[in-house]
Amino acid sequence: MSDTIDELVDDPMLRHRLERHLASLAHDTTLRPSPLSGIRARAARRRRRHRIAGVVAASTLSALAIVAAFSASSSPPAITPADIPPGLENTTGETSTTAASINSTDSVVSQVDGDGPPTTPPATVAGVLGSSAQTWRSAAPDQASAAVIGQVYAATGMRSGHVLWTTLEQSPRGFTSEVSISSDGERWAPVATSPGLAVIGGTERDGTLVLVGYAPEEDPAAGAVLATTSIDGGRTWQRIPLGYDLSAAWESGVMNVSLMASEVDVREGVIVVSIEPRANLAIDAIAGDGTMMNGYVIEDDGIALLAPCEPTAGRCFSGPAPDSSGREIERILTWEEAGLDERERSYLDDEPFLVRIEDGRAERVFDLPSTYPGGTRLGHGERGFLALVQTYPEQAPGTVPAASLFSSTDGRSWTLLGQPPAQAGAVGFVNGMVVVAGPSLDTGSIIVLASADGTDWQRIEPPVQGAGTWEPTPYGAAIADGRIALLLARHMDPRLVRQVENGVVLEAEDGMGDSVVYDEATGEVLGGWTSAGGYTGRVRKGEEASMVVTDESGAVIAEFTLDEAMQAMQAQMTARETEMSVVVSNDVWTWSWTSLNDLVDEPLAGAEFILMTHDGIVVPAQVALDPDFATTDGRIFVAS
Amino acid sequence: MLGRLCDVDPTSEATDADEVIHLEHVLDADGTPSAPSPLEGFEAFYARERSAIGRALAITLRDEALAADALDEAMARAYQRWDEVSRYANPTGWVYRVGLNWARSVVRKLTRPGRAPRAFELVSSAPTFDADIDRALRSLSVDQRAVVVCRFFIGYSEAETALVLGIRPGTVKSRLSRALDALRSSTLIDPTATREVTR
Repeated sequence: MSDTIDELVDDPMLRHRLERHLASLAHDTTLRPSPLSGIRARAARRRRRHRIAGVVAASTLSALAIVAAFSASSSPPAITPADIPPGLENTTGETSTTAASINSTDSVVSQVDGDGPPTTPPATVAGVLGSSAQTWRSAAPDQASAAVIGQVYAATGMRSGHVLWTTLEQSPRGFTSEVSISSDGERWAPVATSPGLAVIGGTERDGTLVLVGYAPEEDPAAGAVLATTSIDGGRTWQRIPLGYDLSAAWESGVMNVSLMASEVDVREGVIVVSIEPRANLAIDAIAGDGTMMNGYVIEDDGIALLAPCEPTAGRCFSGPAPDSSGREIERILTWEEAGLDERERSYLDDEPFLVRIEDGRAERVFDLPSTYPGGTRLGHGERGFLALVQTYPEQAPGTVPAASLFSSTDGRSWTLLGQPPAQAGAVGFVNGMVVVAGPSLDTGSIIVLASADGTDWQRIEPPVQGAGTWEPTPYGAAIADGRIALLLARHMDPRLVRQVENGVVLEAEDGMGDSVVYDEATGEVLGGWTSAGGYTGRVRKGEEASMVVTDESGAVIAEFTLDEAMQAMQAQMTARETEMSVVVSNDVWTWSWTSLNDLVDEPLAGAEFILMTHDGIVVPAQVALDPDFATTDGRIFVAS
Repeated sequence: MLGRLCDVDPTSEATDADEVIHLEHVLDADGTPSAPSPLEGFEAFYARERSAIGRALAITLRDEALAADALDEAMARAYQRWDEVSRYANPTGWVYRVGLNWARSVVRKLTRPGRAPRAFELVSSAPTFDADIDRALRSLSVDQRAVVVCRFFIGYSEAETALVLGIRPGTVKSRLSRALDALRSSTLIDPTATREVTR
């Protein structure tokens, strides 16, 4: 090694602080990798895209064929609204539920036991394109509201309006929140929340505004997780402790507990809140001897410290390891040796749970399976509440990907209804059926699953128009009041930008820099260039960074200049218009299609959220004001 | 733990300092690894490295959600071509780099003027959390932070960092120098000050 860190960092204190802080960041990272099945599914999705991408010239014809196929597919659905049983109880789920006091924070009030009912692979039904029941328009919000739109962090649809909030980190321990509310989707006004509350979730139904968060350090109730409700539009608030607080973790010095996204739903005056706490240990401090440990695993009798690494090597991680397989356990600290008291230990066992609020009183009613951050969705309909939890395969073996769907008629007693093969995105009732919508892990496209009983699912493919791949945006699914709306973005095939030389085609493989070279006539892949930094196959670097393609004998059969190569390889790396559409259905079989691009004169720069209210749909979006997308402005798309 | 790069000839930097070293180039002509490393299945690699790479990406990108997605994307690419990637000198570095490149392209497409970048969602009480350093790190570009992470978090040498990030060693040095200048000036560090790590 020709240099040392010390040579570059002549200030040992700076180096020390930097290394310690980086270790601290690693410790605080709550990132939970996907299960292996998710990686495999994503790889399969990429392969599928590439196969589709090979048919470039036929894109227009394909689009026409797709539309024709959807139009011709009008077979009646197998599920009828009458099939769904009242109350949604599915007695095959091995679940018990016991109400408990909110003060008993360490009691397990309910737990999913076993694998739950088996999930039948869903049959697929093509949705039919129908006329739109909504009238869409775009509106330019006022200046203040446009700023709000540009800062949307999370949003939820409400019965009489919409609420959006953004988070701005203020201190290492937390953040403050700004909440804005609108009654028409165009004009947004800030709401004075319960003082200082760090908001992590909220909604509004029937005139009651509900926000969930925790009280910051300066608050007398510091660390307490609270729901605050307002029935006068945010002028006055009632604080309701949810029986969970972070203060012990804040005072601990050896652990932190973060609250992930929270879902809130209201039905007939009953509020249901999901809370996702996540605890991490400052394992280096617990080890206590200055050794930087390489992560830890929580065992029944204590904390297993994984083999330490040399501080000078730098590559140490102090966070929780998913498991100890393949890792050497250095030693196991008992709880006493680790200096963790009962309350601190209890944080480590916490999983997502549901709280029920009625008449200002909160009750912890149900423990949900472990999920990845933000993997919980709540919904409701005339027959009760629904809770959809994305689970790891350990919780639902045999179903890939896995989700657990729970139902309750009163928000207190919860029953495992089924395990839809879907990623959590939105859940609710449409046409009397339970509907789950979200991005599919196995195809990447939008997935809509409907079931009468939570066990047998049908997959509905909403009709799409035009070439390319339509995929949901991160927050692009909403189900409420018997309707489902999806916000889709079109990903044009990067291979539409390509170079051809002597019958050899150079195309971007994925728009991220990778490229592929193939024989135009036969489709044979000759090689390419990967973002990892190398030429592959019969492709090599030529003079002046050109890309040379040879035949089997080594003779040059095509050569692309650097400019040609860059143009093809960066097909999607330049700013360009985003194409977005909304599909809406009242029965999951017939869908309306609205192109948001058609509603504005300017290029659409992007949108992430779709919000559904009692009588409308709102999409906050951004449009570009110049060809380079250097300046953007907020737009609101409203359907009524 | 992030995997070590296999042996990089320390003299190569001196003789060809401006040449970008490609990860594949440490393979011999017949495609076998230039340094012996037992080939393993993707499953074992994923189980062992996913958390470490994910954390490195999260710190570099300051966005856990983006890091998680970048990790998935890079791992999916590694899974697709594992026969090839497993023979690279440093599959772990390859995944980190692919994830970083993918995330940057996503950010490039999504970033819009007037839109604040998504904050690194920390609710931290870790005793080693350093607000001054954190503020300074935030001020760095992703490219600069990537170099800092490779050098100080992962522990790569300058040559290894160049290899993983696909940039010239000289670029590593210049980026790191600028990053450290920013850290010094932004943190206003008093060299005589000490910070005790206490429970």
